[in-house]
Amino acid sequence: MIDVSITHRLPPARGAGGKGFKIDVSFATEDRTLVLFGHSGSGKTLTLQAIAGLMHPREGRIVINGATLLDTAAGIDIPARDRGIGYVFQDYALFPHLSVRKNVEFGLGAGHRASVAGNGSVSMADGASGKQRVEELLELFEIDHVAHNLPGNISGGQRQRTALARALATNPRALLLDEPFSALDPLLRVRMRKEFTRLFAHFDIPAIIITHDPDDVDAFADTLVLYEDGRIRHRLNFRELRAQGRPALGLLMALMN
Amino acid sequence: MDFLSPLLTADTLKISVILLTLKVAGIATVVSSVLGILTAWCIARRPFPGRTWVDALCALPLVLPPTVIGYYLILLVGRRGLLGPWLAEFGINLMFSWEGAVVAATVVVFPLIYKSARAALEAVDHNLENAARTLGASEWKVFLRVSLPLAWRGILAGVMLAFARGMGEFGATLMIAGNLPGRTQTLSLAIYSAFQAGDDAQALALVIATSLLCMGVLILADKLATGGLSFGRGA
Repeated sequence: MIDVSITHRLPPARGAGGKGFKIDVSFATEDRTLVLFGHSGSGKTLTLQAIAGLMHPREGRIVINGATLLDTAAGIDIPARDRGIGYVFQDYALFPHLSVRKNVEFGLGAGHRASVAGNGSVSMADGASGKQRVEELLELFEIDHVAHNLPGNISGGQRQRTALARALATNPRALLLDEPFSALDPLLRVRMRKEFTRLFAHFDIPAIIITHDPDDVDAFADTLVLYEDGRIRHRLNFRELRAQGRPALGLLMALMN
Repeated sequence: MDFLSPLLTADTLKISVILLTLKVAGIATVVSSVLGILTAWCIARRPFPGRTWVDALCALPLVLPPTVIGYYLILLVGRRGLLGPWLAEFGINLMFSWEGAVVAATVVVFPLIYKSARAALEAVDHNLENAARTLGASEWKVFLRVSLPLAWRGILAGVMLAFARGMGEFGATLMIAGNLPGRTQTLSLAIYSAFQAGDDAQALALVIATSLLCMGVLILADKLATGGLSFGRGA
């Protein structure tokens, strides 16, 4: 389902000296949700950017659901707009000048599936069916009553739902979420986690989630990948552990030290 | 107050001069806006070899004396200039024509729009542009739907400044379009001519008209900048 292998070296920041940052990671899973866990600056966001096509690794291979998005050895590097990857940014990156509805509609009609080989599901994000999908998403995410508002005038939870609805509107082949709950207050965080669990099951779409909150790991991880300084320190099948009811916190503390 | 009475006669306050000035500055601003914003977009997008040089070249008319710009333009589009003979084949003659004044004003105001557009476009949150890309938007759509609307206010400030500057353009216009009353004589040229001829009443009338126009532009710019869309807190 998800097969990622990338190597890249970032030059040191200007004036910072040092040797820059090297990322060299590789993981694959058949599970639906994969959680990338680790400290800030360990390369998690860089990995998501590479998968979405926003960063171009020097070497690597990225295959999602049978579609090869990147294969530097074969000279394949599909542009971001044609990858069909839904990306929920850490600060949501909602377009501040467009209404909630316009935000969710933004990706309609892009037709990004055409040039990607593979067995991704057929896009229904075009024309009338696309509009209908937007209506369904607005209702499903309970943001239909604020559809005409600008993102600056809705609550944090509504903003996050809008970001997820926008990413799902294009019917992506996979979903990337960068610390989806970090901008929310603790009570809302618990509620949104429950909602997301329900929605992921509803859409049955592979998702990669970045977090450094053990509660997110408990809620979402099927496979858990632990990042450290641009490398993968551990890779665990978390589903079994979760079935046994073992909380992630103790396990993560043991593994990260 | 005797000196003010000639201001009110249509003969002294040459409406045609004002209209020509507005036409020249207006067309120059529109042309320069399109060129300046597109150039700024191309240059702001990503570094490329020689970017510093291209950037300096785009800003050059800001610091060059207008007479130098005029001289370059004559070398370029003059009758015996680089492009002059080619333009003549299409029946276009820019020397001593109001179109020539437009060309001069366009070049002079270009850096004002380019500079403000580049700063405004670079200030747009790259995550928003990246979000648009992951949603399947082409680079052109990213520009039209995200970058440009978000940078618009900053760009507009430069556009209004360019229009005001274009109305006052003197040196380069004089060299390429001359100072032909009724054909290429814009406000600042007419003021100079009236002053030289000792027609103080006319000079004063035109000076006041110019000042009022420029005040109007600045007030309009302020209204557009503060009264436009308010996005509240960016999400």
